[in-house]
Amino acid sequence: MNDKELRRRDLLGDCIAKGLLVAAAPMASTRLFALWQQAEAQAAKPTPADVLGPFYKKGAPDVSVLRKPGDPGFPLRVVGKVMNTRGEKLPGARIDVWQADHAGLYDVRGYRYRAQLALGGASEYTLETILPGHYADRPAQHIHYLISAPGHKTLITQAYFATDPFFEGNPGRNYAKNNIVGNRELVRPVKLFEQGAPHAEITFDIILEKA
Amino acid sequence: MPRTIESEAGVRAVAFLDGGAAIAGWCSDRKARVWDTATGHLRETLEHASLPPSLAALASPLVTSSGGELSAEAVIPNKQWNENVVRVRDRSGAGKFQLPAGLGGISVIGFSPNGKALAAGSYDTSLRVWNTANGELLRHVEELPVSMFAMDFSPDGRWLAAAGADRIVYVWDTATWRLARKLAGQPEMISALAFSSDGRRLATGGFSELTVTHPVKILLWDFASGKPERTFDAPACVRSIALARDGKWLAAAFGGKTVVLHGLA
Repeated sequence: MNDKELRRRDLLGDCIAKGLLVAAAPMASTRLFALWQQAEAQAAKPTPADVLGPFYKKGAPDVSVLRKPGDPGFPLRVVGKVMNTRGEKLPGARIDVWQADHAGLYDVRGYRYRAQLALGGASEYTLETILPGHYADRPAQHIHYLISAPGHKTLITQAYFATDPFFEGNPGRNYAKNNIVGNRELVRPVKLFEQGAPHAEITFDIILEKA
Repeated sequence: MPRTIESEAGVRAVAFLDGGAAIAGWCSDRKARVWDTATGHLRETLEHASLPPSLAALASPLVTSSGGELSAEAVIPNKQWNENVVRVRDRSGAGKFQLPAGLGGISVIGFSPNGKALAAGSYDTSLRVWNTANGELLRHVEELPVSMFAMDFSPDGRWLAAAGADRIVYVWDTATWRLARKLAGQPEMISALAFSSDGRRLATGGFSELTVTHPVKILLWDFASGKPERTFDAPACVRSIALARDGKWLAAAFGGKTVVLHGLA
């Protein structure tokens, strides 16, 4: 148990002793304590953070289609929603995304494969892009995210791809290779759709912590 | 032909000493090495506490004002990357200010020559300048599209030049903190920048979008005209650049175990 959990435990115990936390029906304090902790544990954990990197660019266009007709690279759809730790939508959330092109190059002069989206009431997003290439200095395919929502901590993170050769077919074992990916959870499973225009898809839901 | 000095450890920052007679490198093992410029022989190895001021000013992540009165260090609380803090300490090491400085990490940090101002660029593209007497924010530059990777004050303190991912050198007038000039000409992103000690020249070093190990250019500019005067080849992303006081040398470091010296005379 870490320090924060211990403090929380002390505080809860204190609340029960002082009558600040009481059961609606008669209940032993240990049972009350356990129930409360169980309910708290069900709150989802915030999405882990990852580095911002040197290539963030302000002022990206509000577009969800990043891929242009004829662009080289494997078409990729990214879907997700932005939520709080209770799974509720966060209207007013904004996400900035940027990634390398199929050859692993970031567009620092213009805004190719960069977007800034205001998510609106549904708090959901869809990006039509391509699988990012391998940027030579950080050779795991990734998409950068900067997410903000009123009343919540800004999150800087990245999405990675379980199919990336970098993980050698075993992201569970190899995600921490070369200290690139900080958290297994950021490595997303890839679905392949072969009907119509073949494309890959990942889901990347984002959970923000209260400010 | 440029000369190469071999270092035992990767060199992150370079500065000339003794008017150009010696060159010092701040290395990846948190020690500095001082070489004789003429012969390339190692003169001495120094710990952080005994760095000469010109190198202590560049010994990131802990930079020191030229008189040694103040030091500043970038801190990322809890490795969350959504909060940069710059900690300023006085000579005794006592904390003076904790300055909020954007998010995503600090890309570049340095004091003005008289130590009265501290400037820091963040990877969120913002740049801040503080008054070191009271911690007041003198200028918050929010209009840059990209991050600044390199920065230097002119030796007289009149100008602050910074450059980064969009290949442009931005120059602010420190009297008003207004953007005064923009210099274009570097063919790559800019990762190193330094004024000459007379303030008449500026050197910039490139960073290829392909990779840090890709060859780039070093440019030597006439600051008054804003025109590049000379161009040199560099083997990789330039991490640090320096011009000797005697005007004879330009030194560059690339993060690896070499310092390259270009003769200017």
